[in-house]
Amino acid sequence: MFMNRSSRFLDRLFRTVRQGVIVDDAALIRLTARGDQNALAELYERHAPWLQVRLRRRCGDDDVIAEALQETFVAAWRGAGRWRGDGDVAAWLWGIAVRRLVDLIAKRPAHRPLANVPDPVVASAEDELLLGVEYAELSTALNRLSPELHAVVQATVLDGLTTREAGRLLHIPQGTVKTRMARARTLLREALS
Amino acid sequence: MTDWHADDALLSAYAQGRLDRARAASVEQHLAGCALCRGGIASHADPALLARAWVDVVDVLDRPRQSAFERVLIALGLSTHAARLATGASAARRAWVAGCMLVAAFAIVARYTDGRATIWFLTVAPLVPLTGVALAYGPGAFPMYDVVAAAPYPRIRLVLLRCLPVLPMTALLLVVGGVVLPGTAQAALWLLPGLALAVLGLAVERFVGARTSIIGLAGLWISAVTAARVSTGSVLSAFSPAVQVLSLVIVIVAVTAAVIGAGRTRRLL
Amino acid sequence: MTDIRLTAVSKSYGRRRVLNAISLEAGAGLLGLLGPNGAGKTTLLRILATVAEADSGGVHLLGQDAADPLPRVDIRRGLGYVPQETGFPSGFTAFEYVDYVAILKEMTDRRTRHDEVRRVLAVMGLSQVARRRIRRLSGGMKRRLVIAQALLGNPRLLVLDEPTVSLDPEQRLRFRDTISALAEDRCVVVSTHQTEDVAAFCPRVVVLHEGQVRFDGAPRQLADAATGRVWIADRRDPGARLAWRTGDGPLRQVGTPPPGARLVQPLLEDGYLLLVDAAEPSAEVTNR
Repeated sequence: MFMNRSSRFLDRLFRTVRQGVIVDDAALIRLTARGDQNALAELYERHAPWLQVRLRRRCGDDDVIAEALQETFVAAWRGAGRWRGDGDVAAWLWGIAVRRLVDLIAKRPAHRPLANVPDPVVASAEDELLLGVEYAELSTALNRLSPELHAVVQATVLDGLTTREAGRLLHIPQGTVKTRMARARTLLREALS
Repeated sequence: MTDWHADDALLSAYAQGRLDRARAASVEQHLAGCALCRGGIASHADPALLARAWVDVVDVLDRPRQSAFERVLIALGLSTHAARLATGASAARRAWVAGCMLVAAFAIVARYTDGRATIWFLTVAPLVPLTGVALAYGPGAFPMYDVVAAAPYPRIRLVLLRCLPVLPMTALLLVVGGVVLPGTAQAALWLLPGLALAVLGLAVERFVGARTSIIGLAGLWISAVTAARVSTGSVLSAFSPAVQVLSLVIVIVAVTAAVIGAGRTRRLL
Repeated sequence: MTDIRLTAVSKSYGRRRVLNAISLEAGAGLLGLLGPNGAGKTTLLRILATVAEADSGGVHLLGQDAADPLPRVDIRRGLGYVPQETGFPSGFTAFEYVDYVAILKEMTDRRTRHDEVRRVLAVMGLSQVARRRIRRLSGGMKRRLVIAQALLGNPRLLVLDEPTVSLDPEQRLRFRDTISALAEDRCVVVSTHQTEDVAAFCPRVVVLHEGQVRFDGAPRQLADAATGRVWIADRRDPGARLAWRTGDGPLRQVGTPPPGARLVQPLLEDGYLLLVDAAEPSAEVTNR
């Protein structure tokens, strides 16, 4: 939406960023594309914390997470000019971050992804609201999936990775990803019917 | 988008991995679309890790761009910082590179349009190393000279590094000479006098500056070649065995002097 | 500790004698160097920066003999230098420029070097333009860039040749702040045309004139040398060497006052003016 306006406008925008006025993420990306490091710093401040927490739920190694974060924002810096402006910046950054994580984990054969079997928490009434009553059965089924099947569901459905990327993340062949996904789908469908 | 937001207890449980899968997935879906909750979860991130990753980001952004020649030098085994010193260019030296290309291009054109290509190529080619070397370092030629002269980096090493771009240009002209000149042996005739001029230029430059040393030596060289051609009728007489031997002696003396000088102050090199 | 010890240093360019038997000692603290154009300030600072060599006399810096090649390298390891005029390689960014000098200051580890480059750029307020091409920087920014490279590696001796040229007033004040803090524990020599700079933040001032030290002492002493020579009046008096109308109305005059003139407190610049004005033989001030 700012594409066709003058750079003077962007400069003014930049000053308002400095003064603490909230500027939307898309505008920050455009400033970043112009080589404005402050805009990148602002993006980092907004997004790096939650990206870190979310990555931490997928990888137990802080060094890997730090590297993934670094590569994510370097990629954002270099790729900001190619950002098409459709879709959400948060989703865009997460898409970069999780793929960086895949690459880093694929490079380390010894690495084991975080074992993702937390103790179930007793659901409060408010949590039920969050989940939505209609999804209660689905969530029960999701919690019951074996760790292997859940890992595949998380990688492909929740994180939006391709079969190939999921395979690299989990250190399993693509075929296995597909068969596990098929089994998980069957189990979830059964739970809903 | 709803008005609902995750409370801190829920975000904290998520951050610590205490939520079951379905709830964790729900929180993540919510976070992806809710800037307020993304801000809320920031307090559960590790600030030290964030700071470290940010410094790493900035370091990558700051990293100087490497030129093609710099990458070639690094591939040949030079350290990254030595390659940087060799290639940090000045406007004068860029003009010089352009000049070398022009000489090569004209030589090729002249080969097909003008029979006298030999004469002027042999006259001009030896000046390429001279000008390249004189422009590499020194007051007037290297814009940062005063700043650099006060730094502890060994001066001889810096001069040699900054003379490195002369090598590919000289090689280029050797190849062009092979194409342009009638005999293959003639293609290399200019090399020794060229190197001798370069060495002299380097020696003289310290005292009189780049411009004077280039103009002076180039003037002397061109008059010598012209005189040789006028008196004997052939430009090749300026490249006689006697001239070649004299050039070789100059180069050897200069290299010996440099080695002895470097040996005396060994830590300087 | 004595960081600078010059004994009878002379230097000529051709037949022109630029420095004539200069002797000077300095330790930690800030030394302001004043003098008219051509007084030899730049030559003196080039010698202090080991860029030029003295024709005769002793130059000892940071406890080492600058005439000897090996100790000279050690001196350079502890030296930061801002030349009066310097060029920039074409195409360099601000960061690349300082990084280049950092390599020449023997910082070979890339990561540590880049951290140090960022530090000095931040000190001079240039972080925002680190990746900008130098040719796109303003004059003041370029000057600060040259000062930034001098701060690399926290040198024990700082030689600054007219560092405040082309800085705007605010930047000049910031510069005073930075340099005063540095001068707490190291030797800093600053040459300047601006007498108010010296009066403001140099505890010691040296006036160089025609290749010789004409004054060496506190700024107050230099100002006091003009006591009884500065007065105000409504009309220009014949004894005035210089006179200008002040913002308050009357003319402020420097020279030989008429009897009964309204004398005023002299400033450093008055003392300086009387000192370097060759047509004023009675302005001789005793050296310290």
